[in-house]
Amino acid sequence: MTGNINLAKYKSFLTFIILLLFVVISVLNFIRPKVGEIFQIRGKINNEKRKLAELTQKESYLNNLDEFELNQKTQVVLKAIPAEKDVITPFSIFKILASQFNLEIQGVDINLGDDSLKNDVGSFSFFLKVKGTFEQLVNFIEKMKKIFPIMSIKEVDVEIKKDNSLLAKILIETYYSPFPEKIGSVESPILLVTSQEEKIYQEISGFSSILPETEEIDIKMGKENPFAF
Amino acid sequence: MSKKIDFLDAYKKQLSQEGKNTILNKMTLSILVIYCLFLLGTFFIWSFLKRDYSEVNRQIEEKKLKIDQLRKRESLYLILKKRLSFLSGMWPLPEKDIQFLSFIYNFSSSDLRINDFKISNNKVAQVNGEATNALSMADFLEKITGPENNIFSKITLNSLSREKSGAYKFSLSFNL
Repeated sequence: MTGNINLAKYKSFLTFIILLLFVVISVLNFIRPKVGEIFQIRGKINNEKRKLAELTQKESYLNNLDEFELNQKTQVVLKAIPAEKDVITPFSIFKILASQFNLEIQGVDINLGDDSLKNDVGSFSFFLKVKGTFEQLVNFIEKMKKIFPIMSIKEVDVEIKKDNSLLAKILIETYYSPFPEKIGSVESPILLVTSQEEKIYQEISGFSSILPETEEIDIKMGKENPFAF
Repeated sequence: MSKKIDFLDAYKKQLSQEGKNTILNKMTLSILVIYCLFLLGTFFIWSFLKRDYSEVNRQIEEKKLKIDQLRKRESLYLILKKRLSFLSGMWPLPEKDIQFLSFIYNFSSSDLRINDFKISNNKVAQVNGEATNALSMADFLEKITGPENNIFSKITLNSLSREKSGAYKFSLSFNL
């Protein structure tokens, strides 16, 4: 009888304690992980939203590109820096230019170098020996700077002969950049063409090809390698 | 000796106990309500964020698909960009080599002969020659160091020797 009275007396207190225990256990086992998850999801959402913004920007940039103009520009830069290590074209160019400016080619050495690429661009060089007058040499060098493919004159060593003719040894470097095997992830951001690069394009678009034009390169569409010609 | 008898003592104790119970009951109820609200709030936020996350993911997948359809355009753009950024590293194309060639070649005369000259990387040039006498040598040095020459920044006289004939052989370096 006494026990019953005591239980009734502590009923509220016991209920409070039990509830408190329930709340503590529940907070620890259910709410706390859920709150942790909420923070985690919020972090993920922020990241995903950033990614979405980047993708939206990329999509809009690509959408705004004029495919015809882009194709034309690509053709020009591919002439400037071909995709393949072509040693025959420079040889032909030297021959044509030399005959155009009445220079006598006395020898051409080629240094194919290794096939290593620096920023996806490889280079190889020619050591050209030519004989002619000063004007012929200057015209030859000047023309060489404004033709496709881009050739960089690294060294000019000129010997002036007794008859005032010049024997020049010219070190010329030319470049190539193979097509990448993969474009990269869809998510990878697109780097915009800078104003300086645009200016360079305008400049090189005025360059000429010495050799007869070959058929324009067309990049095939499809799921395979988009760089495959 | 008198003894006070409080007939209300038991009643007071009962009242006090009831008061305590009422406070405890209110606290219990309050905790329960707060807990429920918190639980509901947590669940609501969690489900809202989950939905938001799925929605953002769906949009990303959609964008990826659209970008994937523009792959050809992207590949063309990459070819263009890569080449232009390489060219920007070597631009503007050096002009000084031609300027220097013309500059130095024009000094050749009957009194002064340029035997050979070499320009490396459009940065350094070396000239070897000979002057028939000290006067033409001095004249040459004066002309090349004149203020109107802005092709090079520095000239170094590497060597100067006098031959038996009285001619002077020289070697000069120019920083372009």
